Amino acid sequence: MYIAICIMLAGMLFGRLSKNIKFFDLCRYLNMPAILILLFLLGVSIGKNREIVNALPILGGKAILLTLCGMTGSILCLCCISPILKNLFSRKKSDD
Amino acid sequence: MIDTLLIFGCFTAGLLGGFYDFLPDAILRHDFSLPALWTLMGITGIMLGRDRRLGELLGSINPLLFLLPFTTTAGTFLGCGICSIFIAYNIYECLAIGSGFAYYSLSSIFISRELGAEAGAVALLANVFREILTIVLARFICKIFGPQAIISCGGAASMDTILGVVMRYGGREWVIPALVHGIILDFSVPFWIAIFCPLAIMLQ
Repeated sequence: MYIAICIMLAGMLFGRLSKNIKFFDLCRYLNMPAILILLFLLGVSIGKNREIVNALPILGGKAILLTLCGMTGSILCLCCISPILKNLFSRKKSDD
Repeated sequence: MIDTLLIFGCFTAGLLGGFYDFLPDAILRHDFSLPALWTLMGITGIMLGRDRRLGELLGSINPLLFLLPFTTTAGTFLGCGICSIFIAYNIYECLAIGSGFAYYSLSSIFISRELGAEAGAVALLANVFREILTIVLARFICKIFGPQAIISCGGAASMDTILGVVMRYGGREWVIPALVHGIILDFSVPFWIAIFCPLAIMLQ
């Protein structure tokens, strides 16, 4: 995992240094295919495993529960700082 | 939305290909996900480095805006921590899955490598559901909790797929906070997973 993070940081540095080279603009077209290939490979590794495939209906339930808990937690914490954010944006609007 | 459908389609195609064995033997026998992950990380890094908006945005933002990603992180971890009481995963597994913040591609791959294919599948589904639910419920969330709640619910996707929804329901003034929020969360995903996965393995 740390190798992957190092590769990303090296990519950022490379991207910064090669900002004016148009050729590397092509990278944005490679992002989505790279994600799709990765997810395809992830699907293959799950599909090969019969136990996981049989348990998918249960996994979906767990995933939904985790999603709803994460979103609810985010909203609850956000309610605590909402007055600060509202003040910040009302001040910005009056400045404009 | 088309991207999300494409992603679901590729994942399903891989799932069916793996299940019915109709793929070439090389793909079924060898694990190509690691070189593919490194390629994706390299491409993502180059794109971030070339993005001219990144420096401009970071120079013009109010420090208080950093509260938003901090709140999303704290709230997600709080919710996922509570959720671990009800499902058969330990607290660190739930936190690792939650720390995807709707960045499903990267988080599910990292988690499946570290915690196994089942946790990876749950991470993928949970983070895809987070993005889809945010888009579907955006109007309702904005009406009750305000535009900042859409950004928070959208997690790392607030810098891309959720951005249009934020602008539509929250207004233009929320676009920069959404971008900053998304960039910070996007960048934090590998670090949180790197912290929680070893702890989850210790508790298994």
